[in-house]
Amino acid sequence: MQEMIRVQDAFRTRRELLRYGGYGLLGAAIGGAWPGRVRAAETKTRPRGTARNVVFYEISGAISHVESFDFKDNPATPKDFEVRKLPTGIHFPVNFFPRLTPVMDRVAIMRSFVSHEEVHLRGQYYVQAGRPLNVAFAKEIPSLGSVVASELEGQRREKDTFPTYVSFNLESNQVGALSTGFLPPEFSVFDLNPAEAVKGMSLDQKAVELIEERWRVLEGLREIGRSRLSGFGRQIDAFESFSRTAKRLLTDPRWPAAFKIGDEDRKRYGNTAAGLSCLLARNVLREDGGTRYVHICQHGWDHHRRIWDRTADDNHYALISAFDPALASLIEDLAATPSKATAGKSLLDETLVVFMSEFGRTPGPLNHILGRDHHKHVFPAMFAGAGVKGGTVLGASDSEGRRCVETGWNHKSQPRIENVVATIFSALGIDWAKEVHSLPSGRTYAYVDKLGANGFIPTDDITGIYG
Amino acid sequence: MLGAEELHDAIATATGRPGQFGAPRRRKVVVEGDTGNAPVASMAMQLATPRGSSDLKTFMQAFGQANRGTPARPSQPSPLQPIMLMRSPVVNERVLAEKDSRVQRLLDSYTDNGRVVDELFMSTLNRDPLPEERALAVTEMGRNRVEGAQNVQWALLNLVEFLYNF
Repeated sequence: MQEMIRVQDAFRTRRELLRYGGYGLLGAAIGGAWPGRVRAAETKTRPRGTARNVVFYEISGAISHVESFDFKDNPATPKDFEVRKLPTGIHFPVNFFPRLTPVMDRVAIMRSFVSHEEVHLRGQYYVQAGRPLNVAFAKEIPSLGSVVASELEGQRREKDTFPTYVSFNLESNQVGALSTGFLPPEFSVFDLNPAEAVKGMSLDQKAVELIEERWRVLEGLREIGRSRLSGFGRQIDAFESFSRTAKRLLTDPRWPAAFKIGDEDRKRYGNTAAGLSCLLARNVLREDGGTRYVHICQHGWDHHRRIWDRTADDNHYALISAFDPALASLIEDLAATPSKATAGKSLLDETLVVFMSEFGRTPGPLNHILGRDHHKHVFPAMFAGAGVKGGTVLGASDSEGRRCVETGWNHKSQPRIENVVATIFSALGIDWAKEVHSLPSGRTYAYVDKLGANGFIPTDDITGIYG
Repeated sequence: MLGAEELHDAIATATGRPGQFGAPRRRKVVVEGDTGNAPVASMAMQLATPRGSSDLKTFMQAFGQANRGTPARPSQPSPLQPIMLMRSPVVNERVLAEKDSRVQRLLDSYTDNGRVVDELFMSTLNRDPLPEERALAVTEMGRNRVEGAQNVQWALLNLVEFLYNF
């Protein structure tokens, strides 16, 4: 059975909460053109719906998998690595992941991923959009977070003021933060620089009062200008409703509360971009103000040279020491926070945490400048929360970590980021077989792209991580 | 709508508080008489590559500033834009009656609050206020002259009319 829903109607009946005034606002990429219809596919998917929230941690630039989540003893293994077999059976350099080691029993690893891409810009686009970059119609392709935000719009409650899709440091990525493509701008990402946000968003009482006072003047002037400006089009109305949303957010006490951070937390998460991003992600989710999808980007992992040289900038040791406490504290704290939505559950029980890179790094001996290069053929992705069975290990690479020897699911082909996308949709209870027809270019947008570089690829979600 | 650099420069012009893009970064001196410092600029449009404080960077990025290495991206609407206009020091510090700002100079020059309001409208929106607008702003200044004037210019900078018409 095919189910036809007019997109326009679906969005128009939704509440005015995060409406910044619809499409076309401020010269959004696609002016006035709306995709015609959403069609649910003939074979219905069965979304799990175990997650309310998703945190996607992008280890951007690519972590060396053979020295982290798919450890392989190799000629370049640093002498100071203390590799132990964890109770879950994986080998792990415990002394460089002191905080993550005890948390690994909550984490499922799938070690058989393959990427379409082997350069950063395209790889990072792939992670954010869930499909390879095609510059011909990149303008109309939204980021995964924006699609999620559009799907969850109907679940927003009256009290929700936070943006559904929040990200940290995405703008400094090589592709930047992707637009909402064919979707209206109200589903756009709210990208923050964590250090700046701690400074700028933690309004005190005085700052809120000042905004309220000035807002009165602003609304007064708007009221007077209303008749004069009428007929100048929806852009005017749009920006004003956009501005009201912003004011509502700033004067919601939960928002500044999320950006007030204590010294103890700062120390535990690490006073780094990664640490602050994870800490703010926890706070934003804990405040339960409407944020459901968080994308964290940690940069600098592109270790082509001097990867294990402590004197090099952004060497592997330095990045691990930022990554380890940040992510471990986030998972620990989500597990320790009771859910506000479901009694008896923790926030981690209803939050799917995914962490992965856009590809892996060349295994074996180091290259001639003592680094590791890009390697797309096999790399791992990690999952926690939302019912994921900790300690699960799916798929396997060969003894060097060079090629996949076991895919770890019921397909002969290796899983791809498309399948992570399907897993995320599934966890959030979204039917990922949906397609949007009649994009401005006339093409069809599939929630999960089934067209790989060499033919069709499976669009299944990864169920093995749930045990 | 104004782009990032245009918006910054428009705010600087309206408030009489130019940007200060000092250039401590030295480059190799190849020509005699060259100090090795990049020239000091007051307008964002004069810069070859984005410079300035982290506050400014955050503000400019919200309005789609490009790094000149990649093509300019169309400004992606996000709630960050109005938040920046409401909260950023790029706006908030400039409307204060200090450091020879527009508000300070007008308050010093005119005793008549109506004149101050007229000038604020002219310098920010390039037009005279409507009688109702003038009355509202004058009432605001009657409450507290300095804060009132600051609030009025803040509100004018936050009007969509400024974003489109300056």
